[in-house]
Amino acid sequence: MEQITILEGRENHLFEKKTGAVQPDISCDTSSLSGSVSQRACVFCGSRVVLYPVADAIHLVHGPIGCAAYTWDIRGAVSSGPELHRLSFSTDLQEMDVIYGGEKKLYHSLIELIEQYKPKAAFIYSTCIVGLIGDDIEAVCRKVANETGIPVLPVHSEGFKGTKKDGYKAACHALMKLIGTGDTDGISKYSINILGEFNLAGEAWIIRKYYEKMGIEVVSTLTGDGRIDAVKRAHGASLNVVQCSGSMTWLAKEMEEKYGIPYIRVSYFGIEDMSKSLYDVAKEFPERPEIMEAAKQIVSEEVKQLYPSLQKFKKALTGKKAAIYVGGAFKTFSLIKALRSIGMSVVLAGSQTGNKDDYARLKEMCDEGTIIVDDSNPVELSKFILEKEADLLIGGVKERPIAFKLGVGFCDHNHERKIPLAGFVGMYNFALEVYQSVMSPVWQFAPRKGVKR
Amino acid sequence: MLFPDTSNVLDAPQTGKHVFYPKGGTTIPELQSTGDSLFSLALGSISAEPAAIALEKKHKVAFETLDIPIGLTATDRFIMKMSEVANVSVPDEITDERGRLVDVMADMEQYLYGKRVALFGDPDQLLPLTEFLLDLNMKPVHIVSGTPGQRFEKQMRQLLDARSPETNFRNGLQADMFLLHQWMKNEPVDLLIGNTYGKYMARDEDVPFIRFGFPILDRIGHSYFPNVGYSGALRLVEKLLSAIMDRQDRDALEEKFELVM
Repeated sequence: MEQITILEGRENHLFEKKTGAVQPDISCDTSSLSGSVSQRACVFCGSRVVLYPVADAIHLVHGPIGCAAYTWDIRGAVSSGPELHRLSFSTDLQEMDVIYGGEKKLYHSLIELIEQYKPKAAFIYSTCIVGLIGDDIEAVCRKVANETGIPVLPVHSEGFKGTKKDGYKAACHALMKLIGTGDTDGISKYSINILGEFNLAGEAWIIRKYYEKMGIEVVSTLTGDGRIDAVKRAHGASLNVVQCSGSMTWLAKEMEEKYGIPYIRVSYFGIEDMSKSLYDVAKEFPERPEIMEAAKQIVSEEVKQLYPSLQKFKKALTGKKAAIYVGGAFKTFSLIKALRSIGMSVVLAGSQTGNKDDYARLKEMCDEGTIIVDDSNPVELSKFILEKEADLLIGGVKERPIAFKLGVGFCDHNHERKIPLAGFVGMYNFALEVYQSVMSPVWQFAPRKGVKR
Repeated sequence: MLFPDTSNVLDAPQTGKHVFYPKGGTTIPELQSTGDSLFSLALGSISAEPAAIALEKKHKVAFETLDIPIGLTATDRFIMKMSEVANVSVPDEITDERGRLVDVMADMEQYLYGKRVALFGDPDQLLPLTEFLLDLNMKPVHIVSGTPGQRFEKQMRQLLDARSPETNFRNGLQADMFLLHQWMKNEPVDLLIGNTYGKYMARDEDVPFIRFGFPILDRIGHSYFPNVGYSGALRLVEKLLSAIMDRQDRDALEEKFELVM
C-alpha cells in the first residue's frame, strides 16, 4: 500500500487517540498552512454563509466580481417570503477602482440598489482587495444609512485577515448592531432565539415547529429564513439556543453580556441530540411543566415512528466505518452519535472550526485509534481514509471527489444540500443517504485503494 | 471474425460515390473460414446460439453462450472469456476503457440510486441491461418481453430473485406493451427504456424515455455509436443520466434549480 505522509507543519493539527499516551493539545484556531490546500474557506466566505439566509436584505460584495460569483446563491437556505438573499450584488472592482479607490462606486451601487429593491437593510462585505486599498466602508455605510433611513451594515471580512471563523465573527458583529434596535413588546416570557440554524432545505421550519408545539415563542432564527425585523427584536427573547457552535457562540456570548440572555448549545442531528435539544430548552423553563410534558410527547411520537424505519439501515450498516470532516465541531459530535445509532463507528473525526475544548471533547467521545484532525486537507483525508479503511466519508461537496476516487461512499452534510438532515425526519434522510452510498453495488467494481480484497 | 457486423455498412461514409458493397461488414470468405475457428462465442442464447450450434455440428467448433456485452459485468464476462479461450492477456487499452466506465459509475451512482425503470425488448438484450441497471443501483420495476422462452424466463427470474425479487416480470404471449402500460399506470416509474414503439407510453405517462433495442425509427444513433462493450455502457450511463437529470431540471422548483447538481 502506498504511504502518504503528513505535510510539514501539520503534525500538531492531528493525532490518533491513544489511551494512556501523553498527547499534546491539538493546534487549532490558526491560519491554514500555505500550500496545504485547506478545505476551509476564507474569512469573507465565512461571513457570507452566515448572513446569506437573511432574506429581506441586500447583500453587496464590495470587491472583484469573483468574490460575488463564488458565493452567489451558495447555500440551500430557503425563505418563506422574500428572496433577495439569492441575488449576489457586487461593486465589481476593476483596476482603476483599485488605483483610485472604490468608495464612490460603493456609494452609487448602494443608492441604486436600495432604490430599486427597497430592502429592510443592507450588508456590505469587505474583501481582500478592499482591505488592501483601504476604502473607508464605515463612512460610506453611515452616509447611505443617513440618506436612505435603513440600516447599512459593514461586514469586515477581508479574506486574508484570519480564518473562516473570523468571518463568522464579522457576521455576528454586523448582526449585533441590528439586535436591540427593534420593539420587544408582546414577546412571551417563554421565548427563544434559534441561533446557528440556517434553514437548509427548510430545517429551521422543522425545528421551529417542535418548539412552537411545546408552547415556546420563537422570536427569531439566526439566520435561517431570517428577517431584519425579527433580528432587531431578538434581544426580547428569554433564551438563546445555539446550534452551529462555530458561527454563533460569539453572538450568544455578546447577547448574554449585553442583554443578560443566557444561552445553551444544542444540535438537531440524530435522535439523541434532537431529543436533548427539546428537553434542554424545556429545562430552562421549570416553572412551566407543560413545556417539558409537550417535549416528551413530541419525542415519544417521533421516535415511535422513526425507530423501526431505521432498523433496516442499521442491519446493513453495522460494523461499517465512517470518516467525518465537517465545518463545526458540534456537528461532528452529533454525527458520531447518529452513526453509532445505525451501527457505524467513526475512524476519523475532524472539523474546520473547532477549538481546544471541542477537540478535547471529541477525544473523549471517540473510540480508541480514531484520528482527530483540525483544518484538514485532501492529502490527510485520503491518507486516513485508506489507512483506517473507512467505508464512508461525510463532508461537503469539496470532499466528495476524495471519497469517490478512493472507492468509498459519501454523504453530503454541508450547507449546499437540498435535503433536510435535521430533526427526526432528517435522521431518516441521513440514514437513507448513508445506506444508499455505503451499500451501493458500484463499490464492488471500483477497487478500493489500499484495501486488500 | 464477427457476424453480423454492421460497421462500415450501416455507418458507411458519404463519399459522393455509390458503392454497391460497402467496405465493412463480414465477407463471404470470412464466413466460410468460420469452420477453422478455435472457438465460438455466441452472444445471446436466442439470437446467436443456434448459429454456434450449427457450427459445432458441422465443423466441431466448440462454443459457449454468453450474454450480449451490454453493461459492465456482461462485458467483463465477454472480455475474460476471450482472454481465456485465446490465451491472451487483456490489453491495457481495454482495462483503461473499463476503468473510465467504473469511474463514471462511482461518481454518478448517486443520481441513479433507486430510480424506477420500466423496460421492454428482446430477451438477449433485456438480461444484460437489467443486470447493468441493478449494478447502477437503479430499480427495474417492470420488465416485459413478448418473446416466449422458458430459458429466458428462468434466467431473468434468477437474476431478479437474487437482487430485486419484487420486480414485475412477464414474457411470452400475454406480455405486451398494453400490459406494460397498465403496470406503469399502477406503479409509476421514473424512466422507460425500449425501442421506438415506447414513445406513446412515455408521452401518455409523461416519463423520460430512452430508446434502446430494435427498431429505433425516430432517432439516429444505433448505427453510429456503440451499445455494447465498456464504451457502449458509458454511452448508456450518459443517456440514463441525461434523461433523469433533464427531467430533474425541468421539474425543479426555482430555488432547487442548480448549476452544479
